[in-house]
This record gives sequence, C-alpha cells and structure tokens, in this order.
Amino acid sequence: MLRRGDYVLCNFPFRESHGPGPSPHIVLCAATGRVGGTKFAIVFYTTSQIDFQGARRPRQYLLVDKTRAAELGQKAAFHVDASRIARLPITTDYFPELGQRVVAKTRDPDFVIKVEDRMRELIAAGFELTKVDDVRATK
Amino acid sequence: MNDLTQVEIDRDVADAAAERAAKEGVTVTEYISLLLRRSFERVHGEESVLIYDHVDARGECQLDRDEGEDDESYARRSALYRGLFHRG
Repeated sequence: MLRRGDYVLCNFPFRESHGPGPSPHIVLCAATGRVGGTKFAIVFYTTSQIDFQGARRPRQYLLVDKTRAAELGQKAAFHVDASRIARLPITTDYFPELGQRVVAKTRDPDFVIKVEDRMRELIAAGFELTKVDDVRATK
Repeated sequence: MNDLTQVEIDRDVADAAAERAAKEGVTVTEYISLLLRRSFERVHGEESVLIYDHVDARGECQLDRDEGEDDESYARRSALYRGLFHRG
C-alpha cells in the first residue's frame, strides 16, 4: 500500500521514452487516488545532485539532509524536485517493490506540503506547465 | 537500453561518476545515462514543471483522503492535482 508522504522506489519515466523508466529511483509519494477503475499514485522525483559549483540551489529543489537521508537508507543528502511530478498506475511496472510486505522506506507527509507549496510558487513565478503525456503519445 | 556504445571522458569525471553511482547502488553506465537523459528533458534555461501522466483513464479523479484530514486541506490539494492532470 502506498500513502501520501511515503518515500518509495519507482521506475520514474523519461520524457523521451514511453512506459516506466529502466531503473528504480527514490520518489516522494504526494497522493494516491483513483480515476475510472485505475488506482494511481502522484509522485515527485528526487535527485542526488546537491553540489551546484558555487551557484545557488535551483529553487525547484528541496533538500533532504544527510540525517533524514540516512533514515531512508540513503548514504547522502538529496533533493526532492518540485518541478518533476508524475501520475502513475500503482503497478509493479512502476513500483517494483509493491509485492513486498513493506513498500515505503519511510514516511514524511509534512514534507509533501512543503513540496506542494514550492510547486505552487514555481507556477506563480511563471514556470511553464509541460505535459509529458505518455498515454496520448502512444495513441 | 541494451544498445551500448563507448565514449571517452576525463578520468576524474569517470571517478566521480563511479563514486556517486556506488552511493546510489547503480552501475556507472546507469548513473551517467540517467543523468544525461534527465538533462535532455529540458533545453538550457527552460523553466518548467514537467508533468508526466501515464494513467490511461477518464472520469472524475478522486484522491484518497488522509486520515483525519480536514476538508480545506483535501480540497486544496485536490484542486492542485486536478489542475495538473486534467484531461480535456
């Protein structure tokens, strides 16, 4: 079962290719729900890039510090990317650990609120909303 | 994904990539491919929110409510995601 605030492994898709991505990557689950008969999860991408060579951290990135990252089983701090969000079917194609008893690495629903607020700020600041619609692309 | 080719990169870059790949538990090939594919998703300077939608279904999109979540919070985030993932 997935819940809002769970950090889980996900084959997060790419813009340039169809279907799930090739390898599992930690994402932050922002919501779950249902449309028609399909159960879905809405997830934010994460990135391990934390060094910007003296430049300011891009505003779409929210830091998960080393202590919190360690609780997730990660060896280093990472960022949640408020500018990459996906709505994905809850299947093992996208969430490879679904069949296991414990899916989530850990849970932090309050952090989701911060990421959502940051995304609202980005949109208000003029970030363009770019749909990467796999369903339409394949028809 | 199995169609591989060989490129030459500076040793220090390869070493840094190997170190970071090990931290993430992936191979150097996977790490570099992932990094480049993500960078290809936007042109330089593009400021965008990329919204990937892989749900092939229509109808009313209903979010699950958090335990104890109040109506205002639920309505606020429902509106956010309805706006992002609406299929016109």
